[in-house]
Amino acid sequence: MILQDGVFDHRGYTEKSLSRMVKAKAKADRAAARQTVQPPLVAAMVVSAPVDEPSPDVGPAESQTPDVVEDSGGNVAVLSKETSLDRTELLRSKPAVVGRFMQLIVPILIDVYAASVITPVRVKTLTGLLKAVSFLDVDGLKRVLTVSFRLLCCNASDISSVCSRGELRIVHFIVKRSPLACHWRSAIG
Amino acid sequence: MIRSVWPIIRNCLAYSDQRLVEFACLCVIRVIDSYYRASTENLESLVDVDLIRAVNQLLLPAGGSPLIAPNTYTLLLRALATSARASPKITVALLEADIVDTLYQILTGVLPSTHESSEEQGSAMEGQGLGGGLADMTVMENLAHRPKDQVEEALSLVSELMPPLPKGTLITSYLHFHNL
Repeated sequence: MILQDGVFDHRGYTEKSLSRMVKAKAKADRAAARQTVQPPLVAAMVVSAPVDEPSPDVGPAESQTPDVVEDSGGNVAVLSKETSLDRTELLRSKPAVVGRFMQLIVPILIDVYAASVITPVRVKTLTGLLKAVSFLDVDGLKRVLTVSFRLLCCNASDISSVCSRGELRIVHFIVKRSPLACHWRSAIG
Repeated sequence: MIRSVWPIIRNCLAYSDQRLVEFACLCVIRVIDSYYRASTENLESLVDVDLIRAVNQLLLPAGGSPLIAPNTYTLLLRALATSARASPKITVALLEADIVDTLYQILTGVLPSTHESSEEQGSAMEGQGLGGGLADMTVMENLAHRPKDQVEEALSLVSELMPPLPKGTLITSYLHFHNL
């Protein structure tokens, strides 16, 4: 249904695959709910020491908690979510280098996208743009994107549907955040 | 053992002997390929800012043409993307070591301007006004002359350096469902 790089491809869409995805999502939600309930219980069983234990024992108990979470469910979703949160937080803590990276690379990604006709290159470019647009705030978007970018996004006549879906997601992100949303929406419509 | 010889390998990256540099690059690539799954902590200690700066000097040499073969160049880009995917700390180290200059040069053929001017973006008279300040023709010519693999690996590295997509969207649900 969707390519590995994260761009939606409607050609792989079927009712069966949709129902499978819904079931998987429900299962993941249940597992996540279990995860939120389980760690304190398991931790309570593992840490059998009395509550009014001296403070030096607090360190090891805290260091055990991630292992307990990892062992009890082995839920990849929770761990990967934490990892991606860590990554996002880490990048947000370095605004200077990340800002320079975005300011230099995003306009070039747009140019590379416009200049290339090879689908893998376009998909990779779109993936980068999608990540950048989902990360940046309104001011950051204003700095790196030009209004005429919407023309590129909406001109889907000469490109594959895979790319146009990615472009629509980018427009969706921009319209959600930009104060120029009404203007852009009228331009798109 | 690797940690003790690592400074020697890193120094070899700066030598002028092409053959020696090629082998040093292969060492770096193989270490990254073998450590990125097995031991991220070791990878983080090995792929530090010093190593990235040394690799950066190879990818973006002061003299112009790179000392290493195009195939090794591509493999180095892939190794950097792999290490960035493995660890957020390495991602930050890559950004701090000015890898963005190298990526900019690979994708456009020119170095980024030293002075910051936000007005330049998208306002180049000779361009089509799509995204960047550079003329689109410059980008197109550079892309045509670059090996396709290098462009793809550079874009993969850009994608790995970007922050992850937000969770809870249709795309990320799908990626989780298929363990991608």
